[in-house]
Amino acid sequence: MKNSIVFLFLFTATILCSFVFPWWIIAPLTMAFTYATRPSATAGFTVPFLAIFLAWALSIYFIDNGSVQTLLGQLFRIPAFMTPLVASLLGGFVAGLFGCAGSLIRPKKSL
Amino acid sequence: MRKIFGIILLFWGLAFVYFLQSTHTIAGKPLPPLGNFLNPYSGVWQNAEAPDSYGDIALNSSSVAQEVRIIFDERMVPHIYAENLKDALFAQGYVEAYHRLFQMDISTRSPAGRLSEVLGPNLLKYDKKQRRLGLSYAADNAVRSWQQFPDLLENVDAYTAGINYYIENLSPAHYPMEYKLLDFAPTAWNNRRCALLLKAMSQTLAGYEEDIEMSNAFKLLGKDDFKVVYPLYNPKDIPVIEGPYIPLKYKNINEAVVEELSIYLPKIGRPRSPEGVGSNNWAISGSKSETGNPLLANDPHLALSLPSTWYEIAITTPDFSAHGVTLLGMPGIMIGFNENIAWGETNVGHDVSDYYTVAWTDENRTSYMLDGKATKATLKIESYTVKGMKEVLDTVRYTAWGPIVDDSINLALRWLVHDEASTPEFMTFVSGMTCNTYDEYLEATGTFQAPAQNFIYADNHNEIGLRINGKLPIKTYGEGVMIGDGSSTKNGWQGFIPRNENPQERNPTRGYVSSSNQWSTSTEYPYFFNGNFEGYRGRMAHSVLSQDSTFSIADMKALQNSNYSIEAEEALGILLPLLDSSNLKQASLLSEWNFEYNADAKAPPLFDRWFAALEQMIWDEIFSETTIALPTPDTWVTINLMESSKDHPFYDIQATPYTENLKDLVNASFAAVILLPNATLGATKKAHIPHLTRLPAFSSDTIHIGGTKRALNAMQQTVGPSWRMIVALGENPEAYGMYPGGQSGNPASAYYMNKIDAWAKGEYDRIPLATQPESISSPIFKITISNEE
Repeated sequence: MKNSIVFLFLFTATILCSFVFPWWIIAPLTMAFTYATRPSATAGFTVPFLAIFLAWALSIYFIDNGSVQTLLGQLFRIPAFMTPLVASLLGGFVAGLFGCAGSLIRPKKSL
Repeated sequence: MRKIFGIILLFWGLAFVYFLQSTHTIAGKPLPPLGNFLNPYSGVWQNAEAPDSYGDIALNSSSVAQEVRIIFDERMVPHIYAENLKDALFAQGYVEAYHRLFQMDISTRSPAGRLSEVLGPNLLKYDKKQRRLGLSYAADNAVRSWQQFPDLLENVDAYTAGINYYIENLSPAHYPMEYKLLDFAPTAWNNRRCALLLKAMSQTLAGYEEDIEMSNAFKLLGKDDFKVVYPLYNPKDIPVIEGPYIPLKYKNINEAVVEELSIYLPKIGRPRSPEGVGSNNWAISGSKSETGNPLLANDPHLALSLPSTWYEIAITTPDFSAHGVTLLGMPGIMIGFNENIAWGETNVGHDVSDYYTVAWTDENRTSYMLDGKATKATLKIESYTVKGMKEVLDTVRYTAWGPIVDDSINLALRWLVHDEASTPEFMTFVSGMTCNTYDEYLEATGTFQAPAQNFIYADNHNEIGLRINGKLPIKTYGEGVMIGDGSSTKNGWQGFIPRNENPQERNPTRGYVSSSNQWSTSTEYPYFFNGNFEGYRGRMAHSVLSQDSTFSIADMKALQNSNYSIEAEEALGILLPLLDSSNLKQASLLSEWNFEYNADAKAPPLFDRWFAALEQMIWDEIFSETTIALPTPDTWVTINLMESSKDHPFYDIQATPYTENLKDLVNASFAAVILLPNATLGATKKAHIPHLTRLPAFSSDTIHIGGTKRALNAMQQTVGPSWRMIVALGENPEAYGMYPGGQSGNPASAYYMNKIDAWAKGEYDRIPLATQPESISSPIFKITISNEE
């Protein structure tokens, strides 16, 4: 349940914040959120990774009519369909790293 | 432990973000900051442009006096409707930036020598050459002289304001994708950049000279042989304006004082105009036209690029309604038509770029001898802000002649392009598009300075005309062919030809005017000129237009797309009869050829290879000198020599113990090429249109297309017809046009290179003159700019 909330929050916040702030806002955003919600280290990586990966991939799907991915495919010499995935992976990986760092840095609750 | 691991992860996360925020070079290829570039919210994805994504835009600006409407028709051509000229030019600046901002930026950074500022140290050498040629200095001179015409300059101010209005309201997310890829931001436009564009145009069209190469050739060959290999004038040429000419007012019989070299000069680094870029225009009077009214055709040929060189635009105010194409960065319409007239240009090619020797008086080269006196040079320190480097400085010495282009050779460049403008040159294409009669047009375009152009004209009063328009220096005979003696100002240009004495004709009895970059006048013209001229295309146009018949629009289209080569016809007429019987059998491809450079023909590449091999043998005295910078003899010189003599001493190959004649060379060169694999012209040519950055992803694929630089369709590999226009004058002008590319500069747009296929097939779009917004049948979208007060 908690992971789902983190996922939904990060997914929504990424889309909203990214229109105003630079793309790397996902780094402090995910770190602050995992610091506050203290998921496990594994969830601290995977949930932000999936949230940002999906936010970026879906955004690209709706923004691009296929023309940009074709150009990027030619530019980077990879299949065009892979270019949104590569872009989304980059975003997801950044979020995963900071998410995991946030969850690890926060001290465990004392019993 | 957990916390330490978290801090390590944080460190790696920060390092990764830093990596994604920085530029990198991987395997020699620069990479943009990937985070900025690939994120969906401000990165390259924002440049996606679906064909159905355009919505109307409403804007407010205090720079317009009244509301301006810009309606984009179904070909994405903007039609500007304004209540006055300044508002219209503001809108012109706005739409040009809207579609082509990156192109405008790069095409003015190039002459300014400021490419390394955004593209890095690899471009520093190029930038230095541009500054040393004095293009930036020339733009400064132009802008200073423009201040003499404050009222007229307000039109350029309005155009500049329109561009800046677009830039100011542009968010980084919507920067053209090239900015994102190259990681820099657009900067404000100013009138100096308009001047830079004009100078860049001059560099392309009036920057050709071979002074050093010619001087070397003169030293190598001696006077007599030099005249054989490099004659000034082809007697077969049909000049643009045949005359008759005004009585001799200026005696040009004095020979120029040229510098005879004691040593051969090396090639110097100076970007020059390319050779063999061809353009055509002609206008026929109503008496030769099927419509009974004049027809005007113009197809300027240039180095092709994406985004396209030209931008199609229509401008309407209560005073006029014009449609045509413009170069990005200059107000007005360069080639087009309005309700009453049509106009266009081709390049003239007069040599207005001459080198003079400089004799320094001191080791530090701070002063030089001129007219018997030591004269101080002006030292100009050029500063370069290079991306990723500290500031770089370069000192350029300016003499009374002009700048020292290369410090290793003591030569100064006298180039017309450096001169201040004595007339409001910036108004030429603004005033030109508003004219209704030839007298008005002559006056409006009389302001034009450089590069000199063959300005052609036709109107619906059945007037046609052509003027070699631009500032032309008065030279002594032979001046500017080779390096001049720079010790005396008497050896330089002696003023300029009065504009009314420029070659020109109006309503000639033959019923047409025509130019294809050939020699401007007959030898009777009282002023000496030399330059970069091409005669075959002009002869082709004359051979058709002089026929005793009438012409239709379809005939005009066919003529613009003609692949017929008079050069091949003339050359093969000499070569084939000289082939031995054994070779003749293998030459059937050529003997059956119709001299058309069609894409599917195999004969043209074979002929080109054969002729090139033959030239190498005939002019072995030139081509074997690989260490000396020498000019390549003109094709027509080779053909005329072969026609006049079959055993000229030049046919003897120096490296053999025999004495060859023409027949020997013809057969030897044929044998050398006939066994090579032969493909079609289209496959051999590998024609394509590169993007400004040369990135293949933004460039066209290979285009299967015919043409040759000696045919009216002078399509070469990446140089060719950049705009084809035909206008049938009359009560309602009927116009057709096409260019290779599209209106948008965005590689992700459907309008980026949507016209290349049609252009390659020689097809045309119908261009209606939409004098009213309501007459645009299927607009894509519109922009309204209202006065914000």
